[in-house]
Amino acid sequence: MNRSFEDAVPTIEVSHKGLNSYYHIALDDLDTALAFLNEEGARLSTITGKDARDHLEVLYHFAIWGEIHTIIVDLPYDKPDIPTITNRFVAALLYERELIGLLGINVTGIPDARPLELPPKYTDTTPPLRRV
Amino acid sequence: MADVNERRFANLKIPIGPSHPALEEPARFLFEVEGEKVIDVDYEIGYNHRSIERLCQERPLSKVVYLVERICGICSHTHPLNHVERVEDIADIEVPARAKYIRTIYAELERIHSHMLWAGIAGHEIGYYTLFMYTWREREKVMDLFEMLSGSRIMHGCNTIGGVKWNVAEKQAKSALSVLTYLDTAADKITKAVLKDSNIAERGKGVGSLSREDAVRLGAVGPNARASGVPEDTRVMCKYAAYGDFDLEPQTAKDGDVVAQALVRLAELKQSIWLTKELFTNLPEGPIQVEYDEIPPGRSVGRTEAPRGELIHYTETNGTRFFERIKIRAPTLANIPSYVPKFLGCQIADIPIIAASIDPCFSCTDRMTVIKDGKRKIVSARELKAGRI
Repeated sequence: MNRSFEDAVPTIEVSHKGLNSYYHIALDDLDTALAFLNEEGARLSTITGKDARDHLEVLYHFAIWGEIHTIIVDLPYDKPDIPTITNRFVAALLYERELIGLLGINVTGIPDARPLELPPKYTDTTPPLRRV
Repeated sequence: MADVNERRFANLKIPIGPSHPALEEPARFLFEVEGEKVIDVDYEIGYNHRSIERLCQERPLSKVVYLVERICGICSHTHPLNHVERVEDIADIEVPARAKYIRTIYAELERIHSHMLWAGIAGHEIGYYTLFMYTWREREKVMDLFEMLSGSRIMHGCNTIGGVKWNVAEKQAKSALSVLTYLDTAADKITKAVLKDSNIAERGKGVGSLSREDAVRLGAVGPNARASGVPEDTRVMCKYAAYGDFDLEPQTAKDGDVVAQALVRLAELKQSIWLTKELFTNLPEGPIQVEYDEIPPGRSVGRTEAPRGELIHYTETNGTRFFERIKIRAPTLANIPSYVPKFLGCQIADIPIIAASIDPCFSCTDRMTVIKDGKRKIVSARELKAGRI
């Protein structure tokens, strides 16, 4: 990256190792972070959803040449809402549909909210990747 | 009368897949056509979902390498390679140089046989069966090489945390080099058979085009993106395994159509044969494995270049015998959105070759239906959580 992420976006925790950088940010700062990465020419590689037992985590992995910059956002169990990022990164659609199906995360504003991998009649209320 | 026909056929929708002779892989496409022209397309995947990510959290740490090896038959080396590299990154395990070279040899042999398989399938989709039979005959030489090196054609069981399990004997290296020299000539013949053939030019030129802008915007990866002029190759960008010791150039083309896809893969075929020869010739001496104590808590995300493009694994450990989370994004998933601009405006007859052109693999991509004793069973979330499948 040409500019420092930490200077442009408020962060909670930052760590670097080799080609990997992890930026833990607040949900309210997500759009600022995405705008910054868009300007830096980052490509969205994938999105990971994780059940961290007491809350949910969404990790956005962005590639800039050999480096991977991961943005981590926490979501509470009782309100797992996160805005779609397809307005800035079109490629996010399939990965956000994965979050909906496998982790039960509510992606607000997503243009297509069908779960990606699960059968259409999959009506069990617990998403497969939730721990509880 | 014309008005009645227009109303009846205006929005004709043709479903193709999940099981269809024109599509080798289990995906479902719904094409809206106007006459012979495709005007809209929708896709649905998940027919091969096996919930491997969940199972990775339920199995002991040491067993997961076998599980990720079974994600895909063709990429049965790239998946475990990425997985063990993530764990080694978390635990700061320095892998011996010889092990890195052996890992790279398997990765490149995988690319050679996968690209030959693709050329054969592309030939099959357009009715060019001579090419199909010729490439698949030569591909058998690579499969025999795998059998000589590891004892099996696929699922080589080569990778382990800290190195590799199978060494390469001097006699094996010599015999592999003579096979690779033969394959080099065969690759020239395949290239000539593809690029000099007027039928392939007519069936592939301008068919299934993807612009560079769309490739970047839709997040396309691998040969699919490189065929549109995006010079991204994980081997060059990340220099994992032994790739840092060699000067590789990403192979690109401009038009992003079927011919450009062939150009890129055939150039990579030659490149991989050259690289594998170099790897066998310069194989360093020394151990192939190092011991490690335990895997500490940590996280690592990394990429490897599977034959179909960028494969990304995110691995998180928590200091116990189990992984906290493993996330796998196979290249086909990243390439699926690029189907839309490729299909729009194409002729119905071109659907099979366009579908095959990105070399899709849904075993990698889908990862709940279980067939047991010949009976189909939908797995409930509770059973899935309990790991009872």
